Amino acid sequence: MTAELSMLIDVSRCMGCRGCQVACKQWNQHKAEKTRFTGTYQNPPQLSPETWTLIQFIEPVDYDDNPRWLFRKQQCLHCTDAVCAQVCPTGAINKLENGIVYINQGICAGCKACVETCPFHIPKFDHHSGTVRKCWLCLDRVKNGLKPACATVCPTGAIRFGSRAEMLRIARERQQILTNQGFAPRIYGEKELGGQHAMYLLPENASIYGLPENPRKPTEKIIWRWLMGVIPGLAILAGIGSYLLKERSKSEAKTGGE
Amino acid sequence: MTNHWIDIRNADRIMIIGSNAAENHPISFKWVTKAIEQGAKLISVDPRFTRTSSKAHIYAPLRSGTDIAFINGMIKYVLDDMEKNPQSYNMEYVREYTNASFLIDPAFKLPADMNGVFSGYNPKKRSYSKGTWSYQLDSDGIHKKDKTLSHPDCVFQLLKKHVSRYDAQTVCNITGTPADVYNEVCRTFAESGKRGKAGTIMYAMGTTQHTYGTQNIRGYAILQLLLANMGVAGGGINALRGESNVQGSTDHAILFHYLPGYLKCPEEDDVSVDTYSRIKYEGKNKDPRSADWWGNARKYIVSLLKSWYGDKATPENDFAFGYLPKREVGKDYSHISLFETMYDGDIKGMICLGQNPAVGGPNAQKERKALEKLDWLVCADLWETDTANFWRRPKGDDLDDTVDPASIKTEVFLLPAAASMEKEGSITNSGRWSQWRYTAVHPPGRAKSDLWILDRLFKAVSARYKNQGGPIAGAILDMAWDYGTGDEPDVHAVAKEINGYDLNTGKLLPSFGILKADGTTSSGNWLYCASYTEAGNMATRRNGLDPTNIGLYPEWAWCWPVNRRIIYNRASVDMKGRPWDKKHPVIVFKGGASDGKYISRKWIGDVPDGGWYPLMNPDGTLRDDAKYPFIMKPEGHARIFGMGRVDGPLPEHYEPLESPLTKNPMGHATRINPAIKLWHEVRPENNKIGTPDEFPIVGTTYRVTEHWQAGAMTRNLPWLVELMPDVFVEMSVELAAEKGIKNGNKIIVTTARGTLEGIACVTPRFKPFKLNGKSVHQIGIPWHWGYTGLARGSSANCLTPHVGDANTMIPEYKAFLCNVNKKEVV
Amino acid sequence: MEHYVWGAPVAIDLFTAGLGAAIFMVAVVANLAGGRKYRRISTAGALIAPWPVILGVVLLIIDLGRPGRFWEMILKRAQELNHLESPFIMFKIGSTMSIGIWLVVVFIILSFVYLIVALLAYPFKWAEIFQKVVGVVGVPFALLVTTYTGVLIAASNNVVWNNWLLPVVFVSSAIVAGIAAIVFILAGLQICNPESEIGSDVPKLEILNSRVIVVQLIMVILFIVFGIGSASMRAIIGSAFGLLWWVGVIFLGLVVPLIIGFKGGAKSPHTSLVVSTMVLLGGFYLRYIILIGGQI
Repeated sequence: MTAELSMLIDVSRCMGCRGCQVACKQWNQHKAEKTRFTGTYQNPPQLSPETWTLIQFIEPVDYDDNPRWLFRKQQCLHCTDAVCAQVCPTGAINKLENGIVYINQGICAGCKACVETCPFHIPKFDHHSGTVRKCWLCLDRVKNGLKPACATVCPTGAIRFGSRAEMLRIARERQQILTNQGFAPRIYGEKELGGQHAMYLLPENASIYGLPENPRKPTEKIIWRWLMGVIPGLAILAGIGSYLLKERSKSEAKTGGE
Repeated sequence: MTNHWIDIRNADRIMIIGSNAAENHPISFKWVTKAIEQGAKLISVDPRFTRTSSKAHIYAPLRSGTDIAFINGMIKYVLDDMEKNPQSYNMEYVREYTNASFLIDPAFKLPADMNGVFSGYNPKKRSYSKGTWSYQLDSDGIHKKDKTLSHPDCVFQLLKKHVSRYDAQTVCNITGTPADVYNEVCRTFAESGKRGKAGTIMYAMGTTQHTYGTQNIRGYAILQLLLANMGVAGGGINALRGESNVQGSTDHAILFHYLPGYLKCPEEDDVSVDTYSRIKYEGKNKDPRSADWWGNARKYIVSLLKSWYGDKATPENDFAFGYLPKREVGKDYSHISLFETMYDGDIKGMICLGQNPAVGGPNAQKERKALEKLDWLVCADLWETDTANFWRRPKGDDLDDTVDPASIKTEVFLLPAAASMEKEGSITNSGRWSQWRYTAVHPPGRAKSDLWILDRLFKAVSARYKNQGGPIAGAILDMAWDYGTGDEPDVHAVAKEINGYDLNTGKLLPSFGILKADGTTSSGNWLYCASYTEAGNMATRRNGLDPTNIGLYPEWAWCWPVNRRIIYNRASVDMKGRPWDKKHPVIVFKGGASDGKYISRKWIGDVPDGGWYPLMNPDGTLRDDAKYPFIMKPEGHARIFGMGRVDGPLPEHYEPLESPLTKNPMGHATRINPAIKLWHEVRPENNKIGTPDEFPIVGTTYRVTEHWQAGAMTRNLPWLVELMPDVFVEMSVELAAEKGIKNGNKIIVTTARGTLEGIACVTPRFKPFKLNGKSVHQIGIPWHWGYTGLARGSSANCLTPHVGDANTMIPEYKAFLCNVNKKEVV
Repeated sequence: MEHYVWGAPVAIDLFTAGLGAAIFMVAVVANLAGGRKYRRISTAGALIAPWPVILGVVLLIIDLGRPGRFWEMILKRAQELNHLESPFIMFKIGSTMSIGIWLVVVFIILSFVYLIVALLAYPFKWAEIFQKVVGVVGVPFALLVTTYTGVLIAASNNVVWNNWLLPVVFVSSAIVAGIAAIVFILAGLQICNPESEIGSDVPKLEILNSRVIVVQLIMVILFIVFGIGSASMRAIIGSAFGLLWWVGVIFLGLVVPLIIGFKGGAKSPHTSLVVSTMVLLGGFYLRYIILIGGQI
């Protein structure tokens, strides 16, 4: 049994230098996107098949009238309860024993079910390859004993990588330090969706960083969705049947039967 | 840096002012982050809220160009607090290690008494005669001191008098900083003045690129001396160098007024080694306790000449000193001056190695036009640069600039150069560490290393002189030039030459302490003597041991001088040699003592600034064989009162040349630095200066993480272009509302000199400044873009003026006047 | 299509799969309720039911980034056989799409069997019993296929789709469209053969459909009310698709047939043809707008 690995993204340490963004493109040999400056430093504006991670630049307003600037590294969180892998009809997406959720590009048929189900909107459909692509935690590096490219270049230690137990230990340590500094930090991904393999240490609530406070699988309680179709459907069919039966008896009464 | 990158982690207080370290020196934040996690407080002082500010405990906005008011106010806070709480400060340090106790000529006058100038000012020449800026000497020629710091002529009292005018309210009316934030900054940073506490100041171009940039740094130095933060771990004033090897290039004389190792450039009246050494360096001190290290300069200049001219440098020919070019006394050969001269047609050719002045130079349109006057231009770079491409630059945003390639006669040579990873050699980082790098990949195509290019150039010039002769041919032909026979010059031969040899034995020298003035030693740069010894190339060392536990890593690479990681480190101990900070001792005296007297010398820790005995014995008696800690100053004491600068011994607030204020808010008639050269007056052509009624907004320029300097390297890398594709202009929500500009709109910025088109970045991170109740707007523009490469756009330097600092001539890029308007869509 | 993860082909699939399955269900119910009495309805339904579903499958395959890998959804690769639950068949209970694919496969087979026995039931009376049996077996699959089109997008990260009323909106809409499709065929045949009585059940169907439309309208209104919190939903009923939604889907596709049904059905087969076409188009646009609008 392989030890579970995890990334720890310590948001309190991130200063938005975006070395990770470039390192990701360099290691994975991704193309640069043609972008424009749109009024924010964030670029590309969102994840894409060629952009597996990006720093979100968040400028909260109305906070004691003081400016703030928050940076969050957006990427696949590699959930234990990985809904993308569950909804994949071809079996191209698998959660590996080390926790990495991996899309086998040789199997993916590009149905996009995962794109529409991921609660974090991470997987992106690639029109060129016809498949869906996303962060793979540099599985090729990890298999060879290296850290993912982004974790390797991060100057402040905001991105760490190692065994999940170790990352949790560090996260708790940092949580304590931040608590002492007056923050209300949260380890996001410790329990969420069965525990993620890229966890955040958030100095405050998750929604300010554009993360769902309580991420849920859209397929949760899916049986109710089925029943919401099947039961009214049966009712309507019964209604149709009774109407037709009534019409039949009406016309039979009129004509005296066949 | 007086200290080094890793040492930032030892700080208790960090003030980042005139620097956006998180964005422009991201690696520094590895250590800033560590310091914060160990309890340090981070203060970010910047006109706008940056990525650095986002990590700071206190963010203090200040209007561009008002650092001196800001710091003088902090100095006043410290001096006032010292009176009330002397126990919170290290008064022994101030009294014994700085010139606070020195008495100054009673004829010296402060700006408060002289309508804004110091005594000795000549308004016609716009310069000072520094006669009154001098110490009082006793009959033995030794400086008069008042260790009680109460004599009205003593530096401490003069400083007190000078900064008494900078009360918090006055300061905040100048800087626009909210008063409560300002007081918090003062209080927080002053806490580093306690014994055992350390505060560091990290600064960069936001400090230096002003007409009083040097005085800005003087202000930091004075503050740090009062807080006893120089020489200690986690202290210092730390210049974050903007390029990985800019420290190395400065050490090796990239500046016009220095020879290697900061030896002053000879001037026309320096007719011999003897006059050069005597006039410039020797006999400056009579105090036996002062080491006056520069008194050794004769050994260094002779060793330098031996290194350059070898056997041709003999005592008989004054070691070929005559071959050295001599500059006109007081003449300025700096960037602006060169380009003004070029514009006049007096410069025929230029070699431009890894530089892109068409984007990076101030008043860039004028500089682009100046390039047209050249007969030839050689550019060596990784990509075609805007400078190499100047003759077909697009016209449009340039005011008087019409470009007609057919009429430009300049012949341009573009030499493909190797990148740093494509060649072997040393780089010296901001912390003065010389680290060896190896060739990772070979340069593509016909790209060559700078060393190869210069070697071939020298050999070709030399051959030409040999065949055809020429003026002072000996300066070239007598030069010792032997770097191997291979295609690529032997970079180790160069490094060894820089270290220097004992010419009698042919062995590499172990240290500059044994350099001689008799021609028996050579050293291409005395500061680097000990970098490549018989024991090997020190820059290649990679031992990760840190016996001191304060991050010195003494066997990782090599550091000048003599591997001293924190300079002025003898100020980190008290007079008896015991460290102020027991947790982070830089050095500790461990010599033997007997009967209350030290009887043997032994320092542990960092390499001390000279291994002499401490100033005081354990029993409190002074030692005659000891030396003061600041060995590079003739008087051996750090200068709170600094007579070396041309524009005043203490920093006084002046406005930038282009400022929204028409009067100096300090209430005197001297609005701008009185000692700067006014190019717009001496050379008015294309040197217009704007007024606040026409251009009411303060503009500043800066860099972003994603691009590098003038952009020649990064604007050609798609991955980086993707992150920062376009020129943008940051402005406050308030200014945008006034101008009807929305985030993402195309806008036009104009100054008296040029225009810039960019995209508006409307952000709460910029706020209007309240100056005496009046609201003043400021905008900021990254200056990386040009007309060549993958990502193109207007150059912010088409907006900046030709005016420089009084001492260094560094251009005033950081403060100018402009106006902003939405671009009308046609 | 470049802009939307799921574009027009998926919208058509959501419509036609539901439509075909609904036609099947209406045909079976008519057959069970009236036998030969509703033979025209049940036979017309049996004849047309499989084709829209097949069209949907084809479009779904076309919409794949790699259509050639469609078989990956059906068969398992050799290297994966060892540790997964079913030996050769790729079936994942957690994947709505995987369930849907198998539902569609089974449905298409059953609907063809039904088509054959329905045709045989004309000449051979014994086949009538088979028709009823196959019909009863097929209805659950048909209902699940119809529901599947709603569940597939309802169980998503999309705020518009992830609405607990979406399955019932899709199911009711599919049945309305299914009835309209049978009306369309019967009215069309009546126009082609003016002498015949083939279209005699049309008014009855129109009246029937108006009653289902009442349910459908209530569900659509509730769907909007519960989803109005999202900007995408506001775009659907407002700026982006407002006109098509209110005029096309709601007025022409639902309100007009509702009125006609409550007035006792159309007076001529031509009117029926036009109205049923509008209902079908309305049904398609309902899905198209929700699918695309949700991705704005």
